[in-house]
Amino acid sequence: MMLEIKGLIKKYGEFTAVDDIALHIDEGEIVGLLGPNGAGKSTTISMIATLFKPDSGEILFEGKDIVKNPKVIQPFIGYVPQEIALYETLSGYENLKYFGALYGLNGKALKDQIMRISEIIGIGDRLKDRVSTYSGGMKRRINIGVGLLHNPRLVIMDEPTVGIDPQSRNHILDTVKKLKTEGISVLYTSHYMEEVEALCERIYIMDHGKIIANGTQDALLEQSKIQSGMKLKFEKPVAQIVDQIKAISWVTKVKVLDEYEIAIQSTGNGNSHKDILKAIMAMDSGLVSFDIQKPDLEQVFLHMTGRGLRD
Amino acid sequence: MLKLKLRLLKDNTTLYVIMILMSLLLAGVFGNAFGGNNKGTIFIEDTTKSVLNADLIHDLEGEGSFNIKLVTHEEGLKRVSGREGLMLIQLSDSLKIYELKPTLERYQIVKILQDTRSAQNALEQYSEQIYQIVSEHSDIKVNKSEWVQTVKAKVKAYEESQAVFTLDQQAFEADPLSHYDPKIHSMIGMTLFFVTYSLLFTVGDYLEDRRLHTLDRMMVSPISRFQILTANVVPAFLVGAFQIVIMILCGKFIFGIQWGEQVGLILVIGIMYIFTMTSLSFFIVSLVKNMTQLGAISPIILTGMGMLGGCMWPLEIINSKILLSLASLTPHKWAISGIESLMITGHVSKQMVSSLGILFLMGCIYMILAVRMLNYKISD
Repeated sequence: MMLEIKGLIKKYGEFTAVDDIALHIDEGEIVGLLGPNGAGKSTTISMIATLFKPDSGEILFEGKDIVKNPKVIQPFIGYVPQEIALYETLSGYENLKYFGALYGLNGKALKDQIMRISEIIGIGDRLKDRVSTYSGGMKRRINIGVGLLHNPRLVIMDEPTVGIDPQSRNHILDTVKKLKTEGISVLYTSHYMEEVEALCERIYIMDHGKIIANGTQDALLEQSKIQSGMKLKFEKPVAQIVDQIKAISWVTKVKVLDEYEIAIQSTGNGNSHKDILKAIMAMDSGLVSFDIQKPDLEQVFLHMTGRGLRD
Repeated sequence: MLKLKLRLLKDNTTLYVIMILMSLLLAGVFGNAFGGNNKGTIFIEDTTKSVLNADLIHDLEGEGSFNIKLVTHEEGLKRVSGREGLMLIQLSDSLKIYELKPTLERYQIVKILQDTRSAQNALEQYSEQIYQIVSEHSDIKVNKSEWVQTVKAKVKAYEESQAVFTLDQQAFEADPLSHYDPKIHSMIGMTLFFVTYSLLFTVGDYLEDRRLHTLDRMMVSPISRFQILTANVVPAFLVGAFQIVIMILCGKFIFGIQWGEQVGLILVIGIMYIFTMTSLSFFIVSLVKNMTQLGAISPIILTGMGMLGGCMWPLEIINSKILLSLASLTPHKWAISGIESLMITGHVSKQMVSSLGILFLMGCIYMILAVRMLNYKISD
């Protein structure tokens, strides 16, 4: 286990920002941290990054306590804050050079590393231009590049794709995937559920300072017990078959939308839809079309917290 | 890290140039304002009525730094008590000065008197030597006292017609140190005042790092917090030191100020002042959250301290005990008094050493407070 957090608590006066959480990240693993604003994600990330100390609890990096000795993790952590943490009056190259020097890189090694990272983040030809002349997406890429410059073993990314164009966003997502192939662990937070679904092997869901669920995407769907939905259209009036549909196993609720349309809710995994459809076809009901609504992480989140991710 | 901070100074060049120009401009304006109308009055009581003392008084009047008024002892004491003049000088066999409180002018007047006396002695000796040569090597019969008086009169005539006296010019001209130039106070005051703005806004870069979140990047890197603080302090210190050097150079070449032989020590006091003000700036920065807050409170603090500390006008014209006590809490007062005492006395004085010590102590206190405050904010 690369990083392990136990019983972490951080309070601001009476307000508990992080309330007794536990979390772990393995070598080469991409882990997502989801939660609405004020859930405690940034506070958790800041404590892992050694920006400030928890009131109690342990943060262990390869078994060593980083709360007592932050130097244990600092050389190995790559921090990508949500904000564009760059000097706008300097060029991208100067920014990379400066922040690389903070990690003891210098001379040819630093230059080579800047070239390598600029290729990864796809910014080579504009590197010598002032950051103030970059687009939002390019700034984000440099922001990430700075965090990767010293070959970290654990990269913490806090909303790295906020407010950028789709092209830059895809580039950033590809960069994160590439990190995994290089064996680098990533702790990734985002409001964009599809990013987390596409990148993360495991997901922690935070709300009100607590971790309310964690696991793989499938496990979270299973844990949430959210029912799948299906809309069905018929060529005949549905009134005569509603009772028959209600009797099908898996189906928990049937709602008549109009004379020819119904919505049903069902339990079970993806195969339940097949069984339900087979049963309806066997009724000679005149089924015209159907639309399956599978639950996603957004719905899981809504179900667990009672509010949307962007609330 | 320091390299980067020095590189970032380039972005603020305009600010520093403005601060330097402002200090030069206002030094000129204030210097002329105070120089023209604020000559101190010196009362002189001449108990001997000797020719020598008459010459001395004449020289003092000619020197032009003070209004000289001849008075009786009682009248002098009364008028000094009534704050109508800086001091009463009693010219007898010895020199006695009566004043309400020690002033920098005391050093100045003593120096002028000493120089004038030594010039008179040198002239006396020179006249006698000429008499000896003439009486030994010629047949001309002359009366010694008449001869000496004639030579002295001739020399005076040369001096008044500003002819160059080639034999011993230094003896007939007062030491440059004794020529107190009112522009000096304005030059020092304005520079010390405007340098504080440059310092505060250079140290304020720390807030900019906080705003940009580049500070977060530094904090998560393996460099120590001490290094982060140092990287913000050193550029400010260098900017301040540079401004002090510019002050000395511009004072000399633009305003024609004679800084005397102790320029090195003046620089030492200036540097110590920069240290103190850098620490104070850091303390102020540690109290605010952003540049907007800093911009709002800095004019109040810096202008208030500058006014209290005597940057705009000499503290000698202030009589309020409360204001003078408050002035002692400002680094400006100690820097000005240290530099002026050095310029007037021309040597290391108790006043100069105590100024240096107090500035150092203030600097340390502010720095400790700033570091504690910043550490508290960071760990919160």
